[in-house]
Amino acid sequence: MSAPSEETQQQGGCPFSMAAGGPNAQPSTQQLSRRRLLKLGAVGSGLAAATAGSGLVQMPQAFGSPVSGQSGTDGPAFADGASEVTMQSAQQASFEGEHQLAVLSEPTPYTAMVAFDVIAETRAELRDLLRALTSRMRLLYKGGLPQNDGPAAPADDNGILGPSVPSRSVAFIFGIGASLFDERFGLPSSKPATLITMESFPNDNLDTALCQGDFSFQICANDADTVLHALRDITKHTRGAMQPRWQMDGFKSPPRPAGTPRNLMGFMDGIANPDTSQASAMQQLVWVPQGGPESAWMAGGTFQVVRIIRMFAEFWDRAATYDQENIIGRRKATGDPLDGSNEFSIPDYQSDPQGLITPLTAHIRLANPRTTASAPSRILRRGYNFARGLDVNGELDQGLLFTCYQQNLLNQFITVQGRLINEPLVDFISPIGGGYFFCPPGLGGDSSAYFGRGLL
Amino acid sequence: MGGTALANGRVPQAQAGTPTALITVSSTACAPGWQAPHSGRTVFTVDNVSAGIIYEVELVGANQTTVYGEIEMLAPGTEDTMDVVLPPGRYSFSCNAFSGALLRSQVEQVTGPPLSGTYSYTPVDAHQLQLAASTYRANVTQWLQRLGSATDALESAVKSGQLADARQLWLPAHLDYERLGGAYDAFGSFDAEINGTALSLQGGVTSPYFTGFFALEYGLWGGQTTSELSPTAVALDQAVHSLIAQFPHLSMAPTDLGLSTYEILENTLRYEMTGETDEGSNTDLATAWANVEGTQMALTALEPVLKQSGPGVLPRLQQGVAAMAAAFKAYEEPNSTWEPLQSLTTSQHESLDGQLGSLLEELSEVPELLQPLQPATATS
Repeated sequence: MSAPSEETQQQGGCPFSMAAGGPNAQPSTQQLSRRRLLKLGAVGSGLAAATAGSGLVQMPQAFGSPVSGQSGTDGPAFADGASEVTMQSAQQASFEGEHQLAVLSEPTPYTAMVAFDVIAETRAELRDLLRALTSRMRLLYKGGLPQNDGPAAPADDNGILGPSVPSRSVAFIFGIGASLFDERFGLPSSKPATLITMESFPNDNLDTALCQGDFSFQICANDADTVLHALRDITKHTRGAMQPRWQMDGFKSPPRPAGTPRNLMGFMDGIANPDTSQASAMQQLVWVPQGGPESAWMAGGTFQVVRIIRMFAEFWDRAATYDQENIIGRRKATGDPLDGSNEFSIPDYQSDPQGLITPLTAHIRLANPRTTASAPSRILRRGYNFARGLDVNGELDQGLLFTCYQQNLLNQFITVQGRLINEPLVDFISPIGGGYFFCPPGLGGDSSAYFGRGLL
Repeated sequence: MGGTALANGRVPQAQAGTPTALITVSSTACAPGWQAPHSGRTVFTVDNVSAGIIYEVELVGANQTTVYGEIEMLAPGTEDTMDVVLPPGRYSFSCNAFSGALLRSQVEQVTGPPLSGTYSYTPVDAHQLQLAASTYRANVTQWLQRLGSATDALESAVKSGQLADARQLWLPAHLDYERLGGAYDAFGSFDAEINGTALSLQGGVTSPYFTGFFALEYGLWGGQTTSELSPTAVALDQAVHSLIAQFPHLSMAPTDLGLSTYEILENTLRYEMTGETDEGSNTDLATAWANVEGTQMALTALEPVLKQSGPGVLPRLQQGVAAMAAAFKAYEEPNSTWEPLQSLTTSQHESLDGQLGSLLEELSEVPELLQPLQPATATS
């Protein structure tokens, strides 16, 4: 946690001590200090900007009125051919739903996973930050004309998406890491009972600069610029209250040629996910239940695992396809399990106890042995590919931005990962970062609620 | 290789018009009624319609030995593709049930224009592969003796407080071990004890499990005293002598030797050429050189086998390995020191990385060239 800057101290201004600058904000010094505030811009009717008041979360009365005649609705509003983020169903596509909107959504073509550390200093400031974050997420999701801060102020919006922000083109998943629950905010007693800090597994090679964080914040969209627009908006409007810690960008491949998208090992990845359209399966596997080990406010939330897994692409490409298939447990071309006739065939390991067909050490067999005992350890995977340039020796730095969701870290991801220790695949991969986070439940239909409110 | 012909980069690009054909294997018949395609590339889809028989399916030449295409494992009720390039000649399918039964198809004549290039391999004699593994073992046994003397000397220098001597003696001892990369799998947990890096340990260099050469290097160049380092040096020497005593009883799968011929240098590219493993002695390039020597050792043992299964490939590999060893050796300096990796110019680094990567592309063919006719059993 960094100390406040000298300038901030001189002005006695903690980042949240002043109202967001509205049209009445003065230029010059006022304008400078404004940059350190949470920028709670409202999207709305032009000059009718946020009023001061409590000054923090200014919910606009009407969203995006200028956007293609779809103003003020949650309907599938699309201006200028902007592409809508794929949601499970129209019903679930509400920002204020029971759960965070994007958890069950199909992965989008582009994403950024960004970890933040909170640098706000008091509990009140943390609350303001959570409100601001929620407010910006809501505005970015709704889209519309950005707030007008007057001719003397820099524009509220970065303009990457043009003068008006396309509606419903971005989705978020917000998580809270174990490190938030220290003495800073008096939160130790509120710490989720089963939330721990990710430790190094055997064969991990974790870079502390890519690990952990007070918050995880994932941005999902159909276009790379939409992701970056949202990221710049979020960082601008939370400046001084939280600081980016690490970032990993990802992308999802289109089906090649059909079926489940492939990872950068050339294998279809995510075939055997639990069915997100089955509410009962999601209740059993993904959402934190009422009456479990966790506090009541956490029900409807989920635990997120992020693992940044480098693949040694050149080495992998030098391995024989047959060996690759035995390491993974599927046919590379089709995604079929080795004993199956199509991608979605259920492997029958009981009929292959010696592993003559599917080796006992195959990744999919270890990860999901398909037994009654292993069924509760299933996880909802949401993997993205990454390619972030070169290693110091010119080797390609590519891999998998693995995320998964579950109601219990220990019984699910950690159990699965325990079965994978020393699997043959480890020669070709190296987990280098990530963390565990709790994604709080949704806003429950309350348009003034904010994520994580149960905490404070 | 899951049904692809052996010929890196020489197979013509798949065309939309590549001929395809469906064949079946049942409990009683292997590719019944299959019809020979024209010479060139064909993609067969092989369907195992048997009740419960796992097959290996091969398309073999007239001698019934040379393999043009193969599916190593085809489970009952599944299908897979076999992508082959066939010059004119006589061919048949052989379907080897995992239970041991062998079915053959009728022989068919492929006609059409001749092709240049080789799109087949000849499986090696399992006995020959075992002989190669024995040769390699004998070689490793000799080098282990030398390693034992080197860690004796290193231990004694540390125990007697000779820091400068210990630094001098560390490198040759470490290189003696790094030369044995083809046998690491057989070494089992000895490898982690003797040569484990801090990279995957919780707590890194502060982990209590950080032992062996790299822990000693970290201390010798990182300001620890010889008396602090004495237990590490003693433990290292003990581990080496335990390994020497145990090695005759440790088994090595003959096919591991083929994998070693390229996997040793995969590690070199990943760990030494990034400087990730160096703990202060700046000897990554020396380690890389020793790893190339270790590759050469494996290749030499395999020479009689590769002369048969890959006669065209062997000289290219030998030249490549020798040139790579020389390229690293050029960075040796007097008094047991080497040019540090980080002082290489960009073009020097690129040249070594590129040469190593290109050698690896060639060496990665070796495991495929060493597929035995009959499964070879482990030697000990």
